[in-house]
Amino acid sequence: MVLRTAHASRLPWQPPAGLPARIDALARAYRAEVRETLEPLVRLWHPALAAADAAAEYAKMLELSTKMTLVGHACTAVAGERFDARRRRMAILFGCCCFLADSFLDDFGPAATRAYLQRFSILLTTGWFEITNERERLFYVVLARIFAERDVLDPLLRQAILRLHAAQQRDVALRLEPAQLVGLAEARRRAVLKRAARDRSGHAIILLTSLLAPSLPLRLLTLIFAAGALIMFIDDHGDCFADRRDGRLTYMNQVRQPARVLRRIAFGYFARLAAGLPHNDGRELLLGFLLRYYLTRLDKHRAQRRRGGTAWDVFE
Amino acid sequence: MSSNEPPRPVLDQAALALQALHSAGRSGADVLLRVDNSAETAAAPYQFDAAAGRLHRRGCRAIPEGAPLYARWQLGPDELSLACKRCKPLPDDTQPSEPPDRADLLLGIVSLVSQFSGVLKERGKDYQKTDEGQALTAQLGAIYRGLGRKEKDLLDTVLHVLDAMVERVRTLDRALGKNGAEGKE
Repeated sequence: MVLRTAHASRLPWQPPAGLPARIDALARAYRAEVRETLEPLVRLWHPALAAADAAAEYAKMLELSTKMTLVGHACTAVAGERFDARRRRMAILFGCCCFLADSFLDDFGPAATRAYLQRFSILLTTGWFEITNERERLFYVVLARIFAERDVLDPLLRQAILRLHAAQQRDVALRLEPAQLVGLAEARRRAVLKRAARDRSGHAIILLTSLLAPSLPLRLLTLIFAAGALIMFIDDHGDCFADRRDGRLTYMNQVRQPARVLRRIAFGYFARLAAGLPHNDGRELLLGFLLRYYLTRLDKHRAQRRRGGTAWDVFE
Repeated sequence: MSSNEPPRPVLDQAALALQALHSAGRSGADVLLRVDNSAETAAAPYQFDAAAGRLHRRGCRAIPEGAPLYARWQLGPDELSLACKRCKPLPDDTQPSEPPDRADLLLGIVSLVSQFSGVLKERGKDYQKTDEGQALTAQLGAIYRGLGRKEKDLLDTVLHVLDAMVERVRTLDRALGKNGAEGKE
C-alpha cells in the first residue's frame, strides 16, 4: 500500500481531496443500479447466466457494467452533458453488451469466435443477426435497446461501431493465428500488440461516448480515445499472468518489465489528459477513475503473481 | 438513482420476431439496416487520426501506418489547430456534406413497412374512427392543403409507393405474425 501510494504521488495529476471517496460512492450506487437494470433482462432472456453455477461470471458482468457506467459518467461530463437516467441506462446496457461480446470472442472456442465475428459483420451490413442460443438472444435484446435509444446512423457512432469490430477481428486473428507474429522482429511484434490493445479499448470508449454525448468535438475525441487506450494497458497488466496461462499474447505480457512499462505509459497518458481535458467535473471523474483503476490493477497483478488466479477474478 | 423505467419485453419481442422472420426466410428484405458506412468513409475528404489527434486530408502521406482513423466530411474553424502540417487541410464550402445516411433509415422503414404492412393499414382505419384519430386527420388535411405543388407531388408519390407495397405484401403473405414466429427458440 505504501509503495503504490508513493508511486501514485509522483503522477502528473493528483486527485483533489474527497474525489476518491466520491468515486467510491458512485461505484456503489452504480453497482446497485446495474444490478437493478440488468437482472430482469438476464432472468427473462438468459436465465442460466443468473443461476448459482454462473455466479462468478454474472458478478464479473455486473462489475464490468459498473465500470462502464463510471466511465460513461466521466466522458458525458467531459463533453459538458448531464449524466441523466437515460444515459445511465445506456451505459449499463453497453457494459452488458461488451461483456457478452467478449464472452463470444473468448470463452467458447475458436469456431464459435469466428462464427460470432462473421455473424456480427452481417449484422453491420444488413441488420440481420442469426440468434442461435439464449446468450445471443440476450445480447441482441440489449443491442436492440441501445440502438433504440440513439440515432445509430450518426456518422461518428457508425464508424466507432465498425472500428471496434475491426479491432476485435484483428485481436482475434492475433490470438488464433499467432504464426503471423512469429516472423516479426521483437520490437515490431510488440508494436503490433500495443496498437491492437490501444485500438480495441480506444474505439470502445469512443463508441460509449458517442452513444452518450453525440457531436463530440475532435479535440475531445482524441483525449477520450487516449483514456480508453490507457484502460486497456492497465487491464492487460492486471490480467498479465492469467493471459499468459491462457496463451493469450498482449503487449503488457510480452514486455520484460511490465510494471515499469506501465508506469511510463501511465505517466505519459496522465500528463496528456490532465493538460488537455477541459476543466470540468468530467475531467476530475475521468482522471480519478483512471487512477483508481491503475492502482487496483497494480494490486491485481501483484496478487496474481503471488497466488495465481484467473481472468474470472473479480476486482473492483 | 434508479431510472424507474418498466421493462419493455414487447419491444424486445418485436426485435426478436423481426430476426426470427428473417431466419425463417420470410422477411422479404435483404437489408434491414446498414450500419456499415465504409464506402462513404473511404471517400470522405478528411481523416482524423484519433491516436495522434491530427486531422488530415484523405490520402495524406503523413498518416501513420495503422492509425485509428475517423472520416470527416466537414472541417470547422475551431479544428484548424489539429490540422496536419504536411497536407494542411482547410475548411472548404465545396466539400460534400455528410453522406446521405437517411437513405439507410428509409430503407429500414420500408423493410419494416413491408413486414407489417397489413397490420399497419388496418390499424390506420381503426385509428381514424377514434376522436383522436379524427382530430389528427383534420390537422393532416390542413397541412396537406398548405403544401406547395412540388411537395404535394412528392408526398403523393411516396404514399402511392407505400400503398402499392402494402397491397403487394398483403397478397403475398397473409399469414404474417402467425405460425410461431414470436422469436423464442
